[in-house]
Amino acid sequence: MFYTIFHGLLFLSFSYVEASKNPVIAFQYLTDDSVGLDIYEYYDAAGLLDGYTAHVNTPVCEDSLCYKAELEFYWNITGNFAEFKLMPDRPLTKLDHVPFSKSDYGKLMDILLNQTPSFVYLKRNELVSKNTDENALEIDGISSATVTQVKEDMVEGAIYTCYTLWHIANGEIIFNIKEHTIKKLDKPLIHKLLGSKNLEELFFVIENIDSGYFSIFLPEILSLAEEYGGYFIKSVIENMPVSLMKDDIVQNFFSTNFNQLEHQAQNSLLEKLEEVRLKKSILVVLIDGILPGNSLQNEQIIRMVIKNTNSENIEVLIKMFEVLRNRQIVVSEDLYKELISLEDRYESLKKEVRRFRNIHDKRH
Amino acid sequence: MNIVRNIFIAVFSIISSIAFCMARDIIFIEAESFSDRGGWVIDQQSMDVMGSAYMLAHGMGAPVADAHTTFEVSTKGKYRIWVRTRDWVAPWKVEGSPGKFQLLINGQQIETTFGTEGAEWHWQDGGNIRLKSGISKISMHDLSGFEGRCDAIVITNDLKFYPPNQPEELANFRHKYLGLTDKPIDAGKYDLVVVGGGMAGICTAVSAARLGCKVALIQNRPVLGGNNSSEIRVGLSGLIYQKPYTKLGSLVDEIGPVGHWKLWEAQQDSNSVRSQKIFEVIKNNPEKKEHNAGPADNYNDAKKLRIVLTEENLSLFLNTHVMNAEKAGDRIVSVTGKSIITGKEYKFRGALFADCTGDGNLGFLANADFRVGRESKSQTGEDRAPAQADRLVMGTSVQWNSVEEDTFSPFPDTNPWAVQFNENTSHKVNKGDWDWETGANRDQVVEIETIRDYALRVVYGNWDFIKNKSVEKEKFANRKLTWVAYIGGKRESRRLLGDVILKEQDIIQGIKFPDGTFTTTWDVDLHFPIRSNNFTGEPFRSRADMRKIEPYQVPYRCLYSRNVDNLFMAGRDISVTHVALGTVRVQRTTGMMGEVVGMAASVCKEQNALPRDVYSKYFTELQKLMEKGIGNPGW
Repeated sequence: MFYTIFHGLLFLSFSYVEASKNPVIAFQYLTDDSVGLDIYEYYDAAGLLDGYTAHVNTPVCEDSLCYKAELEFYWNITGNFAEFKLMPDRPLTKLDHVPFSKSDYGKLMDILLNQTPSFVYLKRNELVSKNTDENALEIDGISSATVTQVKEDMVEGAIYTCYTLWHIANGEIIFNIKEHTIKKLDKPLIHKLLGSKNLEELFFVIENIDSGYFSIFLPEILSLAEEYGGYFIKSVIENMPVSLMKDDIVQNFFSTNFNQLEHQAQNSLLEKLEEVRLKKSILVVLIDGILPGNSLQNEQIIRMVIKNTNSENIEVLIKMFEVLRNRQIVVSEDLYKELISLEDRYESLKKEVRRFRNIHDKRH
Repeated sequence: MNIVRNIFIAVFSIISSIAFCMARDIIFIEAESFSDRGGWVIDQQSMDVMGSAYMLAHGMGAPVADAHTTFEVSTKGKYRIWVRTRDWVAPWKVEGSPGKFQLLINGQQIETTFGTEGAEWHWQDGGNIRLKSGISKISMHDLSGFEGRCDAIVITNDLKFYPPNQPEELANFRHKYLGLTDKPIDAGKYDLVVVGGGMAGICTAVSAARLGCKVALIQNRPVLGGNNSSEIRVGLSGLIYQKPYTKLGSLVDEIGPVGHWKLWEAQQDSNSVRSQKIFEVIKNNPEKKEHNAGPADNYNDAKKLRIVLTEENLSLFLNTHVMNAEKAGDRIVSVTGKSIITGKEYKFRGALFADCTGDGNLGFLANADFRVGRESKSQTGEDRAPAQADRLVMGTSVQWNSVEEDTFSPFPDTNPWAVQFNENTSHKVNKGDWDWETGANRDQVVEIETIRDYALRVVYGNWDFIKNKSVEKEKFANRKLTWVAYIGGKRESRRLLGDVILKEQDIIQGIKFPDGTFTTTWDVDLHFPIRSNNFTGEPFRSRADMRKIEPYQVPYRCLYSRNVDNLFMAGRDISVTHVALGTVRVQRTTGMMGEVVGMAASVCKEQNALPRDVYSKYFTELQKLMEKGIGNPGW
């Protein structure tokens, strides 16, 4: 595998090389070692933002002994480190000046791609025990389990290189890239990301586009929500502007999908739907979602149904009473009183209310 | 006439007798109050939502021992059983109902299997049984070891009765049928009432008590220590004994176990007596170097308890969750805590209060101003604040660990109810450290049961995959899952607002406040959920985004509420922005906050003053105490 990665590193042409636009500086970034980096945007063949790159030329130091590490870094559009590329005639070397081997480069790639290596919380001076006291040598600053793991997470003989480069690849720059990409989110870029089938990018778009773009791309977003379901659909609901909730397309979508949603996603949806007028089709679906064992959600649905019905769609209320009766749904005393009072408002509900009351009275 | 009268009397007697026989018996049993809890554990994390703790069968795949208790009915006859429970994986619309359990009454199994239906807590119908009058034994029998749960049991001879489930009605029902007193039991009057028994709370309480305050320390778990207890197992981080108040941290040093950072400090100054003693401890107990998710003894619950119990002015109330605060004007006059075991309520009156709950529970109950989530860049001017404010927080860690056995160690198949993994998405590791973190997009108070449960679905699903299904399963054949936290290790929830809200740039730029107190040393360490392209579910791991800092003195005005006059804060709920929380949240630092708050409380008592007055009038008094220190580490 390392061999493949190494070859990939050396011989693959990166997309920015083929891009139709010249790279421009996105922002400047100062590393923990106070090395200034110019972070460039790079683009796909269509000229759309595709990621970021920087020429990294950093000292790697152990006490007063320093040497240089020089290479190109690449991050994806959401800020995650993607890969590195070696500079011609500038191989990475270890402390003893031995050049990295192919497997060392492969290992380095794995390290830089790992967002939670075991050395995250170690200070630089904890990486190697310098205590010459014999007793103290037995007592490394990190647990024996961690020592083993740290060794596994490092290229042997190049721990400071790994440590330094990891902190550049995975430091605050991730946040900065995200922020920069958010500013660049325009129609073509959003269109590209929504079509990427890359879940990380899809979440990024859903969480960061404004209400205008949400509206423009609503059909695509709902289609993706249907495709991925689960937690993705919950994120779509939570990030969808309330103003879109009254849209026919949205209410129809959730009429079809409500019963497949996870419980928390249903609750998020109900919270959003509270804000808007609901159509009959979605009310009927919500009523079908009234189930024994879901007391709190049931109460919310019942109140929403009462709020959104009138004499013109009384059949919705009749259906709800049927469900309450048939599924033996128990409600709070407050809600019970509200339900019973509906017979004063709607003559045609009297029969249903009476049957519901009979069941309730038997239980209390 | 006599005959008629006798007939009448006879008929009346029969009717009366029937009426007596039909008198409604409702027996309400809190599961937590079972006299023998067997292997079941009490989970109180959702009390603010549910109104009660519940019992959890946390067996990590092996059914836990039965819990037993007794109850008494006055009349023999047919009784209906209701059990308040839920199918804990139902919210994810997955099959399998892993939390199955049964009830046995007088040794006889009830037909219904509980924990098999409903995404929400509700009363599951257990059907009818016949009981003799008198005392009966009831047992909860776990069937899976996978987190079955029971809140309460109702046994009634009113076969049409359905117990209430809505929060308010249920609370009243509990109160009535548990026979609780109308008013809370008076638990006394104190100079300082400390709510929360993590490192911040312990240090607040001990510090104030040693300086002459009469203190109540209220903790909602059976052990002290919070995130640093054996229940959660997060090692203590951050440096102590920092300039300018080089004695701050002495109490943290006294209370805190020997571990990673004590050893690190010892290595910087290896010749001191303290360092030599630390080396000695580590030499004899090398396992103490395991910072997170280590052996239970690493977290030294007993030592914390011993120190608190030996404190003369300090009264400790374990297993008590504060659920109400009574105010007069802008001051809290009392708090009411509920036993997580019996449901009994206790009122604590006080002159001063300290919110060391982490979640800012007390402040919330007292209507203290607070924030949740990330402020916007325009709000704080912080580099790492987002353009738009949002509710993202640092998540809750559910850590776990395993050991190598001599022989094969089986683990059950968790398909279909656990999160399903494959070779690409699984993590082939022996231990789950801090980065097994969930719930960053969820409410850490209201949704904690969901957050913890999702983490458990992840841990069990991953473990099942790597042990039973992976191409590398041989590597894990003898590994045994020995510990999984069921109490979540939270990082962030509500942040109560003080007269100063500390921002990241204050720290980075070294802005000096006139009321500097403890020194924070941890980098500004923010956690973000990791999303990967090949995993469609909710993120369950996090990455740390750290910005280096120089040691920084945090102002005193972050340690009291700006709108509740007698409320202090210590812990992760102090007055800081989301970003600034990244540095102050580690536990040796929160412990030092506690030392300072305890000292400030003593100044308040001495001067008959409020927390704000300590800043405006008596800060030199506090400075003297900070210079002196309060701990006796005994090195």
